[in-house]
Amino acid sequence: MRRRTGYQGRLSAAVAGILLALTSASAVAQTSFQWPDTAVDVVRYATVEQCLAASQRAQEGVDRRDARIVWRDTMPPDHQRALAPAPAIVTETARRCAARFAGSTASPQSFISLFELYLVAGRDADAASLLARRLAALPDTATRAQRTAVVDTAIGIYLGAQPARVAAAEALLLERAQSRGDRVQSLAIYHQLMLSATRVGDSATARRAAERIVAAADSLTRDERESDEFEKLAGGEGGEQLVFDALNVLSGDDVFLDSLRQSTAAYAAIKRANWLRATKGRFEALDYPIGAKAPRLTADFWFPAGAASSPRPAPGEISLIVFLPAHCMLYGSSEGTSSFGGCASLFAQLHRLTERFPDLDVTIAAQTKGHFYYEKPPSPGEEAEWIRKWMEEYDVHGAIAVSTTPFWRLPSPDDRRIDQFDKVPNVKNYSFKGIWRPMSGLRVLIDQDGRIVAATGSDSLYAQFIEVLMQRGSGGD
Amino acid sequence: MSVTRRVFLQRTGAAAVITAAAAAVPRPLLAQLGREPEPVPPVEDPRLRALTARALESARSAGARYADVRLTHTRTREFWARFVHDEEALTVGVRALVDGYWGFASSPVWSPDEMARLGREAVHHAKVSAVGRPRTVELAPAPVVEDGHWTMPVELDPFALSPFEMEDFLRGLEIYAGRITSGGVRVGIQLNNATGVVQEKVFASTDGSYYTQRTYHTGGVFAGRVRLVESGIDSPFSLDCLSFAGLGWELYAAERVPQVRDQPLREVIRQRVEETRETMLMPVKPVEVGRYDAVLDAWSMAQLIDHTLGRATELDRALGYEANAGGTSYLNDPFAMLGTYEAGAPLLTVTGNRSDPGAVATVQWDDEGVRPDAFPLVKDGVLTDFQTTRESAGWLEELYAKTGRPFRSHGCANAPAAVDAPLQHTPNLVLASGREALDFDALVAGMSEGIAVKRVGLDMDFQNSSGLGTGEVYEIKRGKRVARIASAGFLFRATELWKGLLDLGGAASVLRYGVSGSKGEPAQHCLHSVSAPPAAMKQLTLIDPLRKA
Amino acid sequence: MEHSRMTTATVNTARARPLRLQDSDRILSETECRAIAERAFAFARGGGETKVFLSSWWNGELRWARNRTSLAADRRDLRVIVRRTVGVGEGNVVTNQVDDASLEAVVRAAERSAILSPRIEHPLPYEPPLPRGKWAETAIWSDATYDLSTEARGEVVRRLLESADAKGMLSAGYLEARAGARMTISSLRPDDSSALWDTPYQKWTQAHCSMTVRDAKGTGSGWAGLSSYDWNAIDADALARRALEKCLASQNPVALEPGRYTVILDSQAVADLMEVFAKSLLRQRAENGQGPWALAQDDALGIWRTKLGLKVADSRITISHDPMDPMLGIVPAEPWMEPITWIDRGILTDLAYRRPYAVEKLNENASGRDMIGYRMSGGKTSVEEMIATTRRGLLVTRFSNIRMLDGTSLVSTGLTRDGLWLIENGKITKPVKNFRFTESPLFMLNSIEQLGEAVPVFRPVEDPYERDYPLTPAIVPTIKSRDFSFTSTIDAI
Repeated sequence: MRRRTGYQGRLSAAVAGILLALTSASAVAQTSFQWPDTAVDVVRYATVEQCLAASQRAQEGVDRRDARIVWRDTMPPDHQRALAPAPAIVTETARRCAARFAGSTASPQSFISLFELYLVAGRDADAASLLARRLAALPDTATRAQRTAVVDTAIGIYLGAQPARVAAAEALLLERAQSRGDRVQSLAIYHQLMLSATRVGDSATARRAAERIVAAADSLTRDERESDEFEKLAGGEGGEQLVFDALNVLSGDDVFLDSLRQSTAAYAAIKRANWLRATKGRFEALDYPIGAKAPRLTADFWFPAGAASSPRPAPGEISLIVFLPAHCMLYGSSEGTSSFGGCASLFAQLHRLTERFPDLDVTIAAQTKGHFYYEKPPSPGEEAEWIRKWMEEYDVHGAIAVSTTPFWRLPSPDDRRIDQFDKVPNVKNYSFKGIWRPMSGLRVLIDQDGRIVAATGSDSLYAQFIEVLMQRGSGGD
Repeated sequence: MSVTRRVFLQRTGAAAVITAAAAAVPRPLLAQLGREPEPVPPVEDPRLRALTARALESARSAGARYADVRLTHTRTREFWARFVHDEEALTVGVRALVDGYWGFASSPVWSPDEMARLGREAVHHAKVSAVGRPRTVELAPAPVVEDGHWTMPVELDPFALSPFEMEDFLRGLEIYAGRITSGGVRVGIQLNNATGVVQEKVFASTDGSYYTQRTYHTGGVFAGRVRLVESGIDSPFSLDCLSFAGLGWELYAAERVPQVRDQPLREVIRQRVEETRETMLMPVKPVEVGRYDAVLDAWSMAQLIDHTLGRATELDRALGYEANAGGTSYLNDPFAMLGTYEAGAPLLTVTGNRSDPGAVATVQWDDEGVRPDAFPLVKDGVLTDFQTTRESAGWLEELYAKTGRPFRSHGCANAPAAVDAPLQHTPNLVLASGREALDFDALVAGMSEGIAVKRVGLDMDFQNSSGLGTGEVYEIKRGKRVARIASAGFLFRATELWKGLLDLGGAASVLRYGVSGSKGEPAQHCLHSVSAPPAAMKQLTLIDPLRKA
Repeated sequence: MEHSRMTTATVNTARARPLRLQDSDRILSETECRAIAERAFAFARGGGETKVFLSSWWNGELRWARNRTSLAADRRDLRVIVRRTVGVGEGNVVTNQVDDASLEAVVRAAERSAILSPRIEHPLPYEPPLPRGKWAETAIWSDATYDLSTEARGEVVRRLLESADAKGMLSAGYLEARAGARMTISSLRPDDSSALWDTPYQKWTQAHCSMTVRDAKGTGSGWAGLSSYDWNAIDADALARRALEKCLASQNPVALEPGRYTVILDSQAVADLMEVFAKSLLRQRAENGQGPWALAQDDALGIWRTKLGLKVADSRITISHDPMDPMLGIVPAEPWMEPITWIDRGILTDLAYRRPYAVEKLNENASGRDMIGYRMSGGKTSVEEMIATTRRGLLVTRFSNIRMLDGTSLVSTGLTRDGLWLIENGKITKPVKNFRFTESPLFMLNSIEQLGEAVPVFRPVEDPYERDYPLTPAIVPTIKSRDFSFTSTIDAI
């Protein structure tokens, strides 16, 4: 029972509406009202930063238009996008505006902006020579840190540019590595390169970056590994996570897929080895959950009602368990959050997977929060029902397992509700003693024997895993 | 399709259409000048004169001895880095004088019928509210303005420029500030917006005056925090060169703005960040209560002038007309004090004007059709005059006659818009600079021991005589600022304060700020500028304002 | 073609007549609000939501000084905000004109602004039904205020003027009757005013009367004033008597040493001081660890504990508001308004928050709560009794120029004004020169000795341009409190 009245239908209605609005809006601009000529002559702009602002504005205009026609979050990831040239209007704006700025006049501060502007304008050679001049102009007394700061800034801009200048960034990184800056921070830079390369589908560069990460990590002293700085890497997950990512890149998807063809256990062994190496044994007491037996899901409300008649994940089936991220349900909360994009992307991806693999056994694990939008606080049953409707509108199919979140309240009159998500059996079981955080949107792929195959990874990797599992069938050798 | 638009489309392609169209803002409002409503014409349209005549006739035939009428069309546009907010209002107000009593009526409708109603209404109010002691109003004479038209000269009309250009400018400042790293700082911008206001005004009076006037006010906020990367401590900062001015977009875009800044805005930002960094790194000392000589920056001096003499020399306030609102004046016997009262040291000269180019209270004619003059309020330390309107100047007629001075209004009648009845509001104030070419640093260098005060905020009493100042306070030792004094404030009495004026910065050190004044019941807020140099003052009482008795 | 259509619309005068606000109809009626909104809705292009926020006001004003009226005024204006939410953006534009051409232009402008909107939001996949609630019909309208004619205002002021003049004193004052109406209408639910986001038609009145009496030499000053939505609740003659008495008794004050004094704060002084307190009662601020009501960070839970449930004031103090309280006159800001007790016998029991907070954090179907008016518990002690039981202290009429200096302790500075007397051995002995104080209302609430009867007080209109409804009414007692800190004397009288 699939309904096609979901967000796609609604979005196209909205788009049609906007097109109408545009027509009438342009009509007003043609009336004789004395409104300013909105054409901007960027050639007259006095500062490099204004030029950057103008090209950003051009880009935002394109993005806004794009957003009305395509909901990017709901589209499959497109590696080519990062490498595609910037929209012509953006490049043209930057090119025209940059014409009057000669690189030699750039102050240390304007250097960064001019460097960026050159890249936006497609003047890569000028950018490179500007950087060279900037480095050459550094006084002899400049510390290594000052020098690396310049290089790191340039690397960041290369990687963030449209299209991403991966090769140029890598060349700088090599140079920078020779200058031996701060090793902990270099992990982050290499990681950025690795992610950027992966983003644009450049696996060779990603591998090289991964090698550097591993080498840099290996060279860290004990103090460095225990520093706050190391802990803060990978968005607070810690440097170990970052090294683990690198080791997995080095292992290579082909190796993972081959090993998985052999058996889930063989595949898990490689993952575990990577984890142990990344953590330097700090977590050796813990078993990395890949290859582990997937805990059985429980729920207070199942949709459809029959979903609970047999255990989930179902023996003999390839299963996917998706934990509904906490922020998906925050819409309209007192924090004013409306973080929808991320969730839309999750559901769109699920939708694509289930279209391609109709036999994939999907279960969405959700936890009640006691509120939904501005409506009066629902009972767990009502909330479960709303979550169901919400999922259906997203055209996601599969079972929905809604657990009631236990909570307590601070003593009156404070009365604040304190949710205990960690006491929800599914959340607790799938956190594996804290290695995973199900509430941040864990997607667990489980083989026909109930063994966990994956919890993170790209769409395409999941699809390949599922294909392997389908071909392989139960067990493996 | 206009030519510019077609060219624009060819040049930038269809992608730009959305943005081009988006810039336009609400359009006119309807006025009924003849028989039918039509879009509001530019203020110079001669038919508006007929509209005002209708109000005046109506007031006169209802019994007004004198009446005047104002029409205002006010447009406000607020620019953010990627966002424009627009607001527009038309109002009209008629004021009538009957047997010494004033009546006023206002509304948002520009039509002949409404003019007639407001004229009658104003007279009716004056008549039935004529209670209390008999009242006579002697309006100071003012030359009739036959048919005056004036537009404040601005270089860049914020309503004629592309809003996108202004947005790019603002965003450019943000990008620039965000990339300042020298000295190990990171800069975060929290507020970055500019506001442009254009007000078109039509004035007519039964004296036969008729003028139209277009004034511009531009101002904004640029504020954020400076963080020292190493220590993690941070401190807020904001720019004080963006207070409202009688300027257009040049307040932002010009390389320099006389008496506002000598450098491009981004350079001001860089220096302000550097100053904030230096302040954070300075040693901190607790308050040692006592009396100290002090050097105050131009902002603090402008605040002090505005809050003491600026308010105290409003003649209506001095005579008790504001007693039930903001308060009275320490110049509490204006007739006796005029020409004799020692308001401060001989160094002290304060003048009022509404003509300084770029100042925010600058006009060609005030809200009574008077062409304001520049006039000394305090000359060489002696109180010489008060701020006046045509009515309040009338109270000084005898005194002016005795001292051989012309009997006239200084042109201080003002109101935010035509919906508000005109009141006497503060004109632009100027604290005369010293003869020597001193600036803030030079004044500090000349002080062996004392305090330096920057960016003061004032709490005054309701007679504008005693106050508490808080702000950035520094210890001066041997001509240098050596420490920041935490949680410091100073107490002062206006009389002593101005008598203790030791030295004034030179003409080059004068800075002008746009500030808001409040008057009346219900309260009206009008803008004026205050120009002042930094100065050295004798014996301020330093305290910790948070410390209880 | 489009061009000609617009031109036609602009000169299409049949529907474009400027609105007139006739004397019999000084503020917009509900019918007019709806008609304006409907016209705006019709101009919308491109679907989405059009929301119109309407407000209009009328002021009848009479001001006097030096024993004669100085200005009598009748003023009206309106304000229309049109918000267009189209697709993924939102635009707001403001005007004060409601003819068709202006409305159409404003709608167009809002649409353009929506297209440029920096916010990009995609539609929700599924929205539960909007919450609804009944808007309380509180006592905010008084015919007596609305019908207080120009002639009647003149007559009242004549009596006030003459009372001071008869004693040879100078008075200045202000009498104002105001009325306003507001309404918010959405094109998505034009006939439904029970949704959370739409304000139903609300009309309100407000009357203010205050006067200052001074002697000709300016050696004494007395003040009295009162605000209410209902003119009938204001006894102007009593105010005049009080201001005059205070002026006569306050002439030629003597200077006292700054220091800590027992104070008898007139209810007006209490309300003045309580202003910073009332504004501090914010729950989310406390939960962010800011302001006076944050207690301590709870590391285990990762939240800030608040002082809710703790004793923060003298146990005789209860501060509450009941929106239906006919003496307060609270304009509802949200539906579901309930009576709220902020401080219950000294214990902090509630802090202000919005509706989504109630739903999300408290898991309750409660309304939001704002400090939009309050009643403070009183006692039975008369001012005379307070004076009689005071060995040495000060009697304070009101405070002026108050500014908060510290957001955590609420320590504020300000001035005494219009009447300050020394009490010695149970008697008022002399008028005293005004002081600057440095004190926190929290300290005052914990140093209470005696409480008088709670009465309504004067509430100044802070910003006559922005506010489309009047501010927080308050009913407060006279308080006798210990050790109030006066830090310097001032010259102002």
